[in-house]
Amino acid sequence: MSYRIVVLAALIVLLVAIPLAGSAGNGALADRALRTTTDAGRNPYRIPPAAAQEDLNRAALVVRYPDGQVDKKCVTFTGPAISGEELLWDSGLDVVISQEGAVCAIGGYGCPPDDCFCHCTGQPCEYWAYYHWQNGAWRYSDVGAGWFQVTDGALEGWSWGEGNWSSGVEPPVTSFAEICAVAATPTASPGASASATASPTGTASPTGTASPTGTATPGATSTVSQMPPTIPVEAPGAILEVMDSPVPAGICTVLKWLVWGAEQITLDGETVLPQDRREVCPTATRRYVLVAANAAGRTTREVTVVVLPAAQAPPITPPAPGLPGPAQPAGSPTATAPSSAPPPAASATPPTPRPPAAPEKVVTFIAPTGRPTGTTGQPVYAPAPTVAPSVTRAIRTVVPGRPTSPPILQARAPEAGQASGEAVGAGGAATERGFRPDYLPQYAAFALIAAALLGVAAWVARKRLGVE
Amino acid sequence: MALNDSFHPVAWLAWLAAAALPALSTRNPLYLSLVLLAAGVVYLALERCSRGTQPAGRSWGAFVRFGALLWLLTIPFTALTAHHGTLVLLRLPAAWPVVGGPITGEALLYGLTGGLALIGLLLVFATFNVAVDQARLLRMTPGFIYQVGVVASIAVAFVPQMVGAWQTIREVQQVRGHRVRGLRDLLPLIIPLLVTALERAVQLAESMEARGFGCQAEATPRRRTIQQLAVLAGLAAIAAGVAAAGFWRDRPWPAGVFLACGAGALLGSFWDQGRHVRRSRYRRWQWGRADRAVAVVSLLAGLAWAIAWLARPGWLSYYPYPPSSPWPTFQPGLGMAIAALALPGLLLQPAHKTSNE
Repeated sequence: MSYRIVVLAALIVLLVAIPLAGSAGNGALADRALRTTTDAGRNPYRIPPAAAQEDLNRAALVVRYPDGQVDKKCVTFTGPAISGEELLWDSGLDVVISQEGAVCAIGGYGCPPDDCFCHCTGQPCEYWAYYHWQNGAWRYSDVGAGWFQVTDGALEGWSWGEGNWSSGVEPPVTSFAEICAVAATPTASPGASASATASPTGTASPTGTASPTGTATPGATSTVSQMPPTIPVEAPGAILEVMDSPVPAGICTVLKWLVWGAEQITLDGETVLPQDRREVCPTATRRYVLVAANAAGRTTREVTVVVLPAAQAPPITPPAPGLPGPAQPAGSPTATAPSSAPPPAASATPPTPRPPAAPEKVVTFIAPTGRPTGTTGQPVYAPAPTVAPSVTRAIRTVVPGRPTSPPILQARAPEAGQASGEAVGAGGAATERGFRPDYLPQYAAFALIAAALLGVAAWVARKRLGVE
Repeated sequence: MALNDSFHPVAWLAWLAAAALPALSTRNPLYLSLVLLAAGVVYLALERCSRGTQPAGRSWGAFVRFGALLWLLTIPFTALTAHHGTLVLLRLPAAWPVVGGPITGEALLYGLTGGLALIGLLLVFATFNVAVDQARLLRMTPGFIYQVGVVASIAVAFVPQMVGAWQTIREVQQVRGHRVRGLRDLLPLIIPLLVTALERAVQLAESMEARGFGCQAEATPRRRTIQQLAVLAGLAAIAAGVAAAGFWRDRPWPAGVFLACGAGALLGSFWDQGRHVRRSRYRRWQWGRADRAVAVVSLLAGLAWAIAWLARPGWLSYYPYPPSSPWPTFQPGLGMAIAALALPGLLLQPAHKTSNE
């Protein structure tokens, strides 16, 4: 008798677990969709506003492509560690991972997920090799990306080639400090800042190159002394983005935002959560205004969703420039910044009342993706003196004045095609993983068949009793 | 027991192939649960037919328990060791070896479905075990692999007989007032079990020898050496062919030549061995209408499944990990094919029982 109970319990667990996991996976997937399609790979949704100052860790990522180009990313994460696979996901690169967990393609280079080692059928055996930076050298990873735990200050490398214990093309030699160069904050944890911080001393090179003018300092003390005196309460920081703009009429898009340090947050006058997203279906071109306020001031962020007439094909170029640009001088001088690029069209940024070259400003840097052919639309944001809020360690999230490069969804599709011949088409193969309504008739059919079988079983069992 | 209390072993073999194929080829929990249901229906009918007469019927519960245990083991194993997926349930400290890292819902689902495939396969084989007497199976093995047939039939019969003997011994010892309180109390159970197993093996060997199994009267030592060498060479050639297929994927010719040579050598040797095995049958098994129905339906279902497997692998594949969806798909046609495997349970109902009583 007991085994029947066990089997019954297991079946019930299975039946309950599948819908639960599926629906939860739905949310996670939607999040992933937002995350992986952001233009520069930043991940604002990983940073809980409250914990942004305390528990923010960083890891650096170097990717060497088959044509020798190198991508460098700095990924911030919360919690003690993430897996190497999550690091890739969070870097915003276009990553294809096979069902067994092997990395098939990065940034459009590589193999499709169903034939993950398509260039490893004989000699030479080329694939995406995984390296860790340990003791001043690259070391071939013992384990796959899913099993390696990346901690704060780590430098991870991916290189296309004959990765091996003894040979193989290693990623270029670099350092965590070079990639994650950023002004340290006084609240930076000592372990991270000891080796990881570099302080650009405010004289930003206007070309926007990767290396900051300051050198990497072993301790964070010198950096701290150069920081402007911290204001006890700063105006809130905010990010507001739109997934798609322009959109054809009748098509919905998604707004997402992240606000930290605010007491009151409103979107178009309606009180909202500090971190959320919302599907909007405007019938005509419309502007959305996010206002975050606390005792020190107000921060305003705007996006404009451009709605095209239904007949017109949506252009991929930035949205219509004739729309209302920056307006509304915000009350707070500290949290806003002008953008260096031409006036942003879709994402309006409040201009700062301050003069643009205030000497005490600290410029935060982001290691640029060093791919000249990249079509990421990543803006050059060096010349603009930007005030860093106190959450400066979240590198990519603290450049509020940077124009949101308009169509977030155009990742690097064109580039993938020209680069690696037959190996392309790997990216973008990700299917929709959430629940789809067309599953419902299938599940209904399954329920019918299962019910019929159960009925037969009951009939057979009844007959058996009847014979007795 | 009547002779035709069940279907012809060939029909059961077709059913086994058709039912084991889904359990082997998919992890889709919907299809797998249908396989479980179909096997359950067939078992219920079998138990009704052979009530109390066949001790092998009692082994089904042991199979179910073992399968459930395997299932409960695979779930935490997969969930703790596979750190892939987007649906992070919790995080274990990264410093812990192997298990440290994110614990994902996809891994949990993968463990669930993998365990479901295992238990499905186990139950299909358990049902087959209950349905077919291994002696009848042995009778059907072709002449040239009679040795393999003997080994296989003994292996297939091992677990059910062991379970039956264990239950008998336990009951007998309980009647004598024996209770299991510690490890030492297991001795009075285990020793008779070993003794009966040995006895049974010796008995089987004697009876087979008495029936002339294993005698190769006409084969001279030289001929036997040649046969064994041919088998060896054939196996080596097949291994070389498999290795060649792995190394030179773009050149199929060497691998094909090796495989063909190996298969030819093996078949020739088997045919030569089989020429010298002569067997006569005392009792003929009748091939009735129900047997034909079971065989045809099973073959059709298995064929449908195999065609779907080869032509539309996407229908069967289920992987919860990121490139694919954690939601299983379901094709009603394939589901019907599996449900048709419950047919033996329906046909077994009154016909054989009443006709033979």
